Amino acid sequence: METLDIALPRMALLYGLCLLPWLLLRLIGLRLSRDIGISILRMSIQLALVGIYLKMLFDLNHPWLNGLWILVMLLVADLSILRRAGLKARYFVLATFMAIASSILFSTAYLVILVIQPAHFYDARYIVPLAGMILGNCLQGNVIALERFYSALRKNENEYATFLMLGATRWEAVRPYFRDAVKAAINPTIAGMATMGLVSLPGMMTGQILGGSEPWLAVKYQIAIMICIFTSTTIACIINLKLSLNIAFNEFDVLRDEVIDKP
Amino acid sequence: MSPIIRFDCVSVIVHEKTILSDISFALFPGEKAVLCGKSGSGKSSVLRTLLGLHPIKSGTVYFQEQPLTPSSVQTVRSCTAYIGQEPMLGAESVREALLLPFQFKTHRDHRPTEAQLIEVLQRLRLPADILRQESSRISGGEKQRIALARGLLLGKKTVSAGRGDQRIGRGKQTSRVRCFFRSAADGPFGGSRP
Repeated sequence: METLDIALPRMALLYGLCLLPWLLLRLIGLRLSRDIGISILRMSIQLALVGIYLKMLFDLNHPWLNGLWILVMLLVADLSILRRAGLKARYFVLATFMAIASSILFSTAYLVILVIQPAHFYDARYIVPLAGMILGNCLQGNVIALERFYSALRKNENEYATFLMLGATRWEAVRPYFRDAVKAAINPTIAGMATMGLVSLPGMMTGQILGGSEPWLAVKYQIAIMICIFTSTTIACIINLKLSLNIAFNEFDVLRDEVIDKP
Repeated sequence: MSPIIRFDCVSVIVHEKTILSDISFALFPGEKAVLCGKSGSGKSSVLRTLLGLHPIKSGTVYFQEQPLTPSSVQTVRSCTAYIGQEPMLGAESVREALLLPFQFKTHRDHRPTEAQLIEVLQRLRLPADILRQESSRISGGEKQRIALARGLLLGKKTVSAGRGDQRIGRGKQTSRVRCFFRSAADGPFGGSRP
């Protein structure tokens, strides 16, 4: 079953749909024309470039090239996590990279090598979209974990100091905030799994069905990706927070002010 | 006799602002001292610097004649009860707050019995049923006494108290203060506005 192509004139028609929300936003007094325009333009250019690159990647299907693409995705995700979490990249860039790289590589390798078992484990058709999807969700989780953890520490500075004064080690003193941050990071994934299929049809499954796959196959892939997202987000958040503890505090266990990127 | 606490030309800068400039003093075991000054003059900062919560720009802080270093700060913290202006109890109920330090590895083997908890509360003129109350529902004064009780249970030698428990500084010896000072082998230490 072939997926129907969308010809250029009909793509133009599609963009026309944006006029409706743009008009509504103007009516309620929200002047977001510039932001909307830039976002739509960026999305279109970025996806066009990805389309060109993926076409080339799939045609060549070279293990090093596929690996390089995943590396680029990891680096972009790394910097994006730190910027959105309000932490200075120069301090945490390596720790965050190690956390997301290890968890993404582990869960993607587990899924591709042990579960899907394609002829070549480096097959771009499998590893690139799967690693990308896992990474995208992992990124959200890590932003929440880091942001929650360091905000909570700054907000509860006196409570944290009290724990230290009562004999807690750094790890013992940060543990309540650590647990809360990890919980906040993985809660959306847990809630998403619990309501999957009831509230919305998941994106990957929809994509596969539109691409001509059997619904059963699409369901199996969706379950696989959700389990990998849950696993990698949990692992990445815990490793990331743990590694950051060695960077963010001074030798007296006090949070270093200079690591926080103040707006 | 050597001082238990000594500040030697200590300056502290926090957020690019000098909060302590060239402070020197010495306190001996058994001495009780009060820091007086206007609001924002740095009374609490002296106490927090002693506990390693502010980085020292210049000078040296000594505790039991040992310079304050990352390795010695644990000794200072384990010997000192710091009772802030509005002490943080760090737990839902008063009982959990009193037992909080005994969850930490260093105190895990010295968890007090129910009888010891009640005895400490009685010494500070607190009713035993306060144990069941939520930490957020008790008054500021009661919070300070719970923080003092925690210091007693931990056998702290030195007390650093912020404003609020002014009776420490003013010499009006209430039972709780007498009780704590009797228990503390060395000098307590308070900060109070004039």
